[in-house]
Amino acid sequence: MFNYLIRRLFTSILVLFGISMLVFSVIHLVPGDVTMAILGRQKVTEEKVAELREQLGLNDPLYVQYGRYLGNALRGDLGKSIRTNQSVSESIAEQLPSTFALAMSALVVALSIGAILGLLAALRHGTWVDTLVMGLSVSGLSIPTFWMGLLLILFFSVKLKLFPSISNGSSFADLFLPALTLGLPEAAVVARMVRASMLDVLNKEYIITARAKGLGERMVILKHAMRNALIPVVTFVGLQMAYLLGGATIVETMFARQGIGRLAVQSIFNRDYPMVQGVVLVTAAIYVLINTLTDITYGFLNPKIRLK
Amino acid sequence: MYQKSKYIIPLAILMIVSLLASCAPAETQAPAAEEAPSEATEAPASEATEAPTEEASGGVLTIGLPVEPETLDPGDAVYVQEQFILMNLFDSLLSISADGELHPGLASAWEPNADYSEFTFTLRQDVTFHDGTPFTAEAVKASFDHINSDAVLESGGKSLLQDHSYVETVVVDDYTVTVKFGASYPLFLRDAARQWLSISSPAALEASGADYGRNPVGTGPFKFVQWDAQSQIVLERNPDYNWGPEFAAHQGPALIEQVVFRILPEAATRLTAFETGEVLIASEPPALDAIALSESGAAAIQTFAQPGVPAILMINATKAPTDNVNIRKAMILAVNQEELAQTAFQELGLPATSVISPTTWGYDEGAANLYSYNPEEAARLLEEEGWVDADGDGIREKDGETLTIDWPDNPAWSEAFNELLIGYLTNVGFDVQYRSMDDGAAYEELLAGNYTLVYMYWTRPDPSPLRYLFHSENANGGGAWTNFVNEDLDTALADADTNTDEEARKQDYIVAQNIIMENALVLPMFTVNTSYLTAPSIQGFTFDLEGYPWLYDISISE
Repeated sequence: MFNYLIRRLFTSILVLFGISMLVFSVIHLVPGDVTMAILGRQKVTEEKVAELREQLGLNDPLYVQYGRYLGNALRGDLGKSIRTNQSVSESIAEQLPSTFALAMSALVVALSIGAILGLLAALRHGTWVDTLVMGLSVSGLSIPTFWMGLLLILFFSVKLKLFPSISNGSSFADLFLPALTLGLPEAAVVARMVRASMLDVLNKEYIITARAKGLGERMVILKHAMRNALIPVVTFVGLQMAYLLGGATIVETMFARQGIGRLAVQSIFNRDYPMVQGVVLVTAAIYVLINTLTDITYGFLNPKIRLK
Repeated sequence: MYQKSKYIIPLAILMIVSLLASCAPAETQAPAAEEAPSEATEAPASEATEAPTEEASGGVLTIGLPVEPETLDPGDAVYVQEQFILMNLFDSLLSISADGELHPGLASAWEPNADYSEFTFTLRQDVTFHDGTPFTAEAVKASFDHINSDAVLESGGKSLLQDHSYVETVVVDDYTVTVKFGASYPLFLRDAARQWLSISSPAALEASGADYGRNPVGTGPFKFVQWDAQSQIVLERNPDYNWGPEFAAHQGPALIEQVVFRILPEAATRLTAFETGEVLIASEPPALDAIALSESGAAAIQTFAQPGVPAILMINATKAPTDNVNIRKAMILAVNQEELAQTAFQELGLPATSVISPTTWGYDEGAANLYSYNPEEAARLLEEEGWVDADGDGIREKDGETLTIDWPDNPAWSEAFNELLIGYLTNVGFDVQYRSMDDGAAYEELLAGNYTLVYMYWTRPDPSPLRYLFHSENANGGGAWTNFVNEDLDTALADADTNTDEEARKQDYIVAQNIIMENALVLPMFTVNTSYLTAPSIQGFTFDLEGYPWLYDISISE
């Protein structure tokens, strides 16, 4: 187990290293000069461009620039926004809690609705309940987030005036619509996964054995079937958590919430390179971290994986 | 295979409850919902009913903004949204009413020297900054020196000071100050009345340093409270405010207690937030929806055609084929401004036919009436110059060259009208190459000279941007993108900037407008209108002379 942990952590660090290189070099690959973006608000003269290039260290060889970037990043210094002059780390820290609250509550929506529906469909396999749930889940998957969000806003905010259409807090009312918008498509996926894996498990011999031993149906389902059926869901949730943290941009924009996804998009539009680099790096790090944790958890759950 | 079990029913109930949790109570609660909408609207409504008097009626004014400011340092700010917020936080030495008249501001009297290069101000003695610092001559000096310093980007206020060779600000005594320039600057008094030269607390400038743009401290009717990036900027009433401009509708503190600027970049979100009452004023609403809302009585549309340079396309006069004046004229004649403004902005757009907009001081009717939509005449001019469509593909050619217009542009600025405009030009045989790119890349194309058209507008109460945009000293990359060189134009623009005789300056601008339009250096399109949706409860909404809403006099009824 210890070896597995070390191996897993080592690959994570390698991946992070690769990401940092990618993030760093992207700035140098995109068309257009970063100095132009910075000087966008002022009169541009050649001296000013030269001075700024010097100041930003753009005249140094790439590996020197990268070394400097990595060194600063490791110390938590991701530079300053070229638009607002704010520290990139602080700006990201300001946006993260909102994204985190949204992702968590969306996950709750996805898991509770998804698991219940999936379970129902599996237990009522082949009946109209199954068909209905699968139909709902196809719609849930196919309806684009922005459309779903609009409908929810129209119904709950404009018509019923129950929930705010713009929100930034982490209270139930603030999170209800954004979490539903973000969580419903995920719930559809979870429902399908739970159904499939439950059906699979229910046909396993140990379930027949359990039933043959005379265990009550509730015990069979909850203790034997559910536990095993949820293993693939756990992996999926881990991956989805990372996705929700980085991929909530549309929902954040729609409900005018603070968030790291919106920050990324805004920075790209603004050509705010240090901010783009910082957001991508942090998001990627979160992704890697969650993946690592998922893998490690999985390793605990399933000893076969450790041995590979 | 397996028997029906008991837990199915509780599970099913749980599911149904969770699915319908929202809908079922919604039906029953619908009537009650009206009484308790979102927090944002509840506060003003309840407080306003308690104190409906005009003085300090209170309430929270929520405003939906499409763009987040980058800074609230007056010397650094250039964007509309920034100016809009700044005018509530800060006062300037002078104030200027909507009719363009100068009035006292933080200075009660002012005196220029003979050639308008030095200005002496007598300051009010009863003013304090939001942080408690008393307002004195030192504050004026600290503010102007800050705007002129390296801490501030060369934009807005700084470019005004530097363009006129700012020398220094001399503190004569505690309440007398002289601002000195190295050249005549007759427009200074007007600029000194605007947000970009407003006065900051010297203590705050010192304490905040590079972060001042996030911690602004002025003397205005509202104090800065907080700024949550990508979410909101909160201001609260300055209870000590007793130095408002004499032309305001009331004196004393502002009527509303708090202003919350919500950052809502999505037009649809802004509109919805307005419909639900979460914002009481929505800036730049989508035209069609705004009109529908106002017709239903749920909102009033407030629009203002901004003075200065309207939305124009500057035409590169040194690059073929637009190095020929007749080709440029044909471009102007090919475009139906009336229809363009109407289609792109519905009732919220006005056509522009000159290089400055009709609400600008010094506007000349003559220059504005030189061209009117005439595609036949455009075609005739093109044929006269030898451009014909020989191969029948709709595009004119001459000597193997096609009649190509190169337009590198960021569609974020022009999406409302660019296709229409290209349509007009294509109709008479132009081949418009619209190259979509971001601002930085577009700017590089401009500097490299790879363009025929440059989209431009510039809000100012007077035609002074013309010098920056058309004087040949700024040609080839300095901002005069037409690259047109004409001695008479240069003379008029330079004189207009420095002549102390107002009538002579006006004459200079009339000459300049005529030269620019006669040489067809720009393709005018429409005036840039600011528009706001206001809820019926908003009372006393007015614009200042540049089209910024004047929040000081606004109150919330009901």
